[in-house]
Amino acid sequence: MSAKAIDEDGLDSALVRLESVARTYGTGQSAVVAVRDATGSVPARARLAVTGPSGSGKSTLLQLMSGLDRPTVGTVSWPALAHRHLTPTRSIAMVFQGPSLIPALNVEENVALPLVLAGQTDRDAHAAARSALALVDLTDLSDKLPEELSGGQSQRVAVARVLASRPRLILADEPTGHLDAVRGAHVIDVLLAAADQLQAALVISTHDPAVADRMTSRWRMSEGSIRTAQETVRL
Amino acid sequence: MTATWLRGLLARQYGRLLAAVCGIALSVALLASLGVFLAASKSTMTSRAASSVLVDWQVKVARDADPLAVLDTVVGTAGIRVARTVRFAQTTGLSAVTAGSTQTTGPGVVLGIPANYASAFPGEIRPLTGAGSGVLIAQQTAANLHVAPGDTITIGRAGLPAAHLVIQGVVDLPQADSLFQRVGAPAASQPAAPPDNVVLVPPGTFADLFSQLAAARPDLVTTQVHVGRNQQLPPDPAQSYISVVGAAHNLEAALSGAGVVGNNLAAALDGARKDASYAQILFLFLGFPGAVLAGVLTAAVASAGRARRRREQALMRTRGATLRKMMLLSSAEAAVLGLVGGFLGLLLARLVGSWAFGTSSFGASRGDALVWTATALVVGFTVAVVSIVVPAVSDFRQMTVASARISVRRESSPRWMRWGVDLVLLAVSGLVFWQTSRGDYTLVLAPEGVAAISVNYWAFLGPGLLWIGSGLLAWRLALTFLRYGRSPLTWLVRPLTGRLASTAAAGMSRQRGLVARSVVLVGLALSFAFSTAVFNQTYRHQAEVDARLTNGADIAVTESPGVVVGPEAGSAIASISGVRQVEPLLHRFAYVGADLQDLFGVHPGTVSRATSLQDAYFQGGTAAQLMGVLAAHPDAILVSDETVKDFQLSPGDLLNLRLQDSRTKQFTTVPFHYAGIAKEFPTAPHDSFFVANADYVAKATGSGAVGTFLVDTGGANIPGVTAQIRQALGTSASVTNILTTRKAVGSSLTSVDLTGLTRVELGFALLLAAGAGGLVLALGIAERRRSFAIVTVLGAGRRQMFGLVLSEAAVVSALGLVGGLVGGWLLSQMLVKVLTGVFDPPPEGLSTPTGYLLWTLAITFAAIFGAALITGRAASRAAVEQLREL
Repeated sequence: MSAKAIDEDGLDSALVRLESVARTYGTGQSAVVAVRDATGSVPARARLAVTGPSGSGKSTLLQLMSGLDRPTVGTVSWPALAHRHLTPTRSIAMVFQGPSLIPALNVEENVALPLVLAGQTDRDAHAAARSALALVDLTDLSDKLPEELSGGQSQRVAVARVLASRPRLILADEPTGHLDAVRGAHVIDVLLAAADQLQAALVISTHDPAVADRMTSRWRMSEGSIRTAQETVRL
Repeated sequence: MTATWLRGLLARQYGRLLAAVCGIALSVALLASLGVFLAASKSTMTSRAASSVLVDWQVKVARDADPLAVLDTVVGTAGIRVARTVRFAQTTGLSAVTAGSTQTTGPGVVLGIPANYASAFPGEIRPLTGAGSGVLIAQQTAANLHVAPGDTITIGRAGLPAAHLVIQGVVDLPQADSLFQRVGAPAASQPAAPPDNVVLVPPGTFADLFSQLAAARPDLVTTQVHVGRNQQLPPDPAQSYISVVGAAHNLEAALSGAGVVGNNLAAALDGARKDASYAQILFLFLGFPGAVLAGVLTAAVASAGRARRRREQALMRTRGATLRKMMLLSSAEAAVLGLVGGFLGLLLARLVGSWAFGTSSFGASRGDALVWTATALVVGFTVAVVSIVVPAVSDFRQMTVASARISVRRESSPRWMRWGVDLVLLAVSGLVFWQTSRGDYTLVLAPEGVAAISVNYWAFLGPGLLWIGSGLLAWRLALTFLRYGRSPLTWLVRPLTGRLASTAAAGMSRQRGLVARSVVLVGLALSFAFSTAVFNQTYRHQAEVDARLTNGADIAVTESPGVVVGPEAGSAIASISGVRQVEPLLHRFAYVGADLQDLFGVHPGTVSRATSLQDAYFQGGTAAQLMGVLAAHPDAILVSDETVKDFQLSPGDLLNLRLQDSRTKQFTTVPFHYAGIAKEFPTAPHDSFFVANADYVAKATGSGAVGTFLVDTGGANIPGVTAQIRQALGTSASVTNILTTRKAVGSSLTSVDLTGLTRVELGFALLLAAGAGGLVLALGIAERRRSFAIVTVLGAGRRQMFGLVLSEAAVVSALGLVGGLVGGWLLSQMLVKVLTGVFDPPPEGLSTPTGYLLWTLAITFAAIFGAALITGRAASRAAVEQLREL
């Protein structure tokens, strides 16, 4: 699946589409181009690895895909998720490399938070949160504060939070970056299982080949550009 | 590395550094401003005391000594501006024949005054009518003899024929008390009042009249050398007092028994040094908590960055930083903050001083100024070190790298809370308060003539411990509420957060330490503002009451002795334009046993029309009730507390007083019945006096002669109305108004013009309240911007973000307001009680400056909500930047 191939296959069913996207931080001589001329799209139920060395623009690309950041040049759209150019925040969920849980909320409250923000009642949100925690096998930790969890547990809670909000596109930015190989593999298992269960597309940025190998397609990034034309990985 | 670290801080954390510098500057500025206040008020007190004295020293020449030699010695002494010889002779009596009738007085005094005396001591002799020199007669004596310039008086001389003199002018002697003092005699044996009959003559005339008498009866003719000094006095009244007393002793030593110094200047400074002690105490009571609060605020500002500092420290430790290195870096940070904050604070204090006190000097003397400057700077450094170095070192010693990275942990109760330190402090405060305020409690004791002043510093413990204890109790209550009151908290924030209410409540509950700290700071700042404002307002109100009590009403018309005017004369005064009410007040002297006391006769139904009677003046009923008793039972009488004790009186007891009957001039017994206690009364002296029904007194003494007419103008055009009354009545009465009395009572503590201090304190209180609310909340939110970034990423809309931030602001405001009002009210009560000595008379109740308090609340809440909105917006805007750190 390359940028071009996605272009050809995606049509209106693409969850996210990038058209000649660039993102520059700063201005003048201190300007840094994080992403340049990126074109591609992610179809439903895709399993995509975005690989490349540190500083190659993987995180920025995911943030642009999530709608949290806006491109300096080009267009990001979500044809299958929302009206063109409007950010479909409710249908996209993100897992971050570092701790992304609210320190002042316990595990269950953290998982329920996106649902409460989306307008669900406390009772419904917490019920959904408990179900999501059960799916990642973390029911026992629901009363714990983030400070009381290990790195792997924190990432699994972050995945449970994704599960609870039932997105159609999961973006995971180096989700195993802070974990050892065993715990990292476990988090990827959980992410893949969650994506399968939600029938959602999963995009993982990573520089770990073992993680990338578990995805069906791969974009290789270098100096802000998507270099690889097409690379389909058979699992 | 230190420079790099500091550059990094300046580049990355300028907001927090700026806030800390502001906090330190505020502490230093408040302390230094109080130094300026003390310097200004002490120097004002000294100069006011010195300028209130017209003749600094009265050197009484010993009987056998040569007056000229004494004068030479005095003139040869350092620091003498002017010296004049004044002679005193006792006369057996004065008389005059006017309009066919002869008026005669009792014994009096004739003064031999040199021609240039008036210019040497301006104000000592105030010409009223006729010539300003020659043979002059005192106003009261002129009234007694019914004489005017051009009339002849006869002066009686013991053992010699009477002499006749033509009066050339009538004068007033404003400082008759000190002029006719018994030089060298102790205070207790000084005459109760100056002589009623005084004639002033030139030295030549005096010699003609009394040379023979001086030879025959040297006890009746004395000589004094009146001295005006020009020595620069130290600004501090206590030091001035010591210096003036020392100089007088020095002169007495030089005179070797030829003269004794009557030290009028020292007597005035003696009162001023007591006032200076009160001023110092006022600083301690009113200013010190503000400086402490500013320090605590700075520490809170610095500790708002503690979580971040811990993470930085953890990072540095993983790179091998040692405790020494960490201390070096944090000390450098503290030094820069302390230095910059300290100098900014001093600069601010100078500006504040020039604006509020008219001076920018930090102390009454150069030494004082240095001490104040150094103290203020040391406080600035201490605040910086306590806020930055101590937490950094403590974290380094106690925390692991991993735990330092944690921003929220399960909070356990602080140690002070488990030990009940707050409750102990409050109990001790109550105990000290009870101990110090019972019985004959005196805050400042300045025994007359003794250089040492004793201040009951023990009394400070009461309010001090109350302030700390109530702050800690507020902290305990806030923590307890946030921990166990999740349901009411959810209910409280629901209007702002909607469905996020329980999430917001859970967040605040888990970070209750942070929220409680903001609550306590807002509470303490509001309580400081509240108690300061209430104290100042009460003080100002009582100063006004004091002036009104002393003068009696807007204008008081006091008839000269010997002038008999009935109540009907009031209608002439009432007809003057601008006069609203005129109330006659009878004044007599009455013997109770062997004691002679003032007796005031009032018309109970109308007296309060021209003057204000506060309930605090009386005991045994309110003012209205006791006036009702005097109206219903004309023989009822109000007496002083002392009289009740001395004569073991119970309500209804018969009290026989001896009053002079105007018809027979004999003292006759008049029966009264004791009805209540009068502690204060308009125009009455501070010691014992009686208040009775005027009609009953007039009937019993055969005269309705009025002592004083109290005139109410409604506060309008007092000087104009005073001038008109003076013009209408001439010299038959003295007319005083509340404006001049206000300045006159200003020679006591009210001379410590609290206006400047009030301005400074209320200004700082406002700044502190706004700072405590806004700054601490803003920094607390800024510290949690990562959490807010996550909430934004998870889909929070702007309204939801503001709801979360504003809910915390609302909780801090509501709890801080409750704590501040309760604490402030308690503190005000205690301050007013402990500082009773400052008030004269004691206040009836607290005066609340509602306007200022509402402004303070409005500005504080505006600061809190403004800070919440700004930081909330910044937190949601910075979400993408924060994401890069996730």
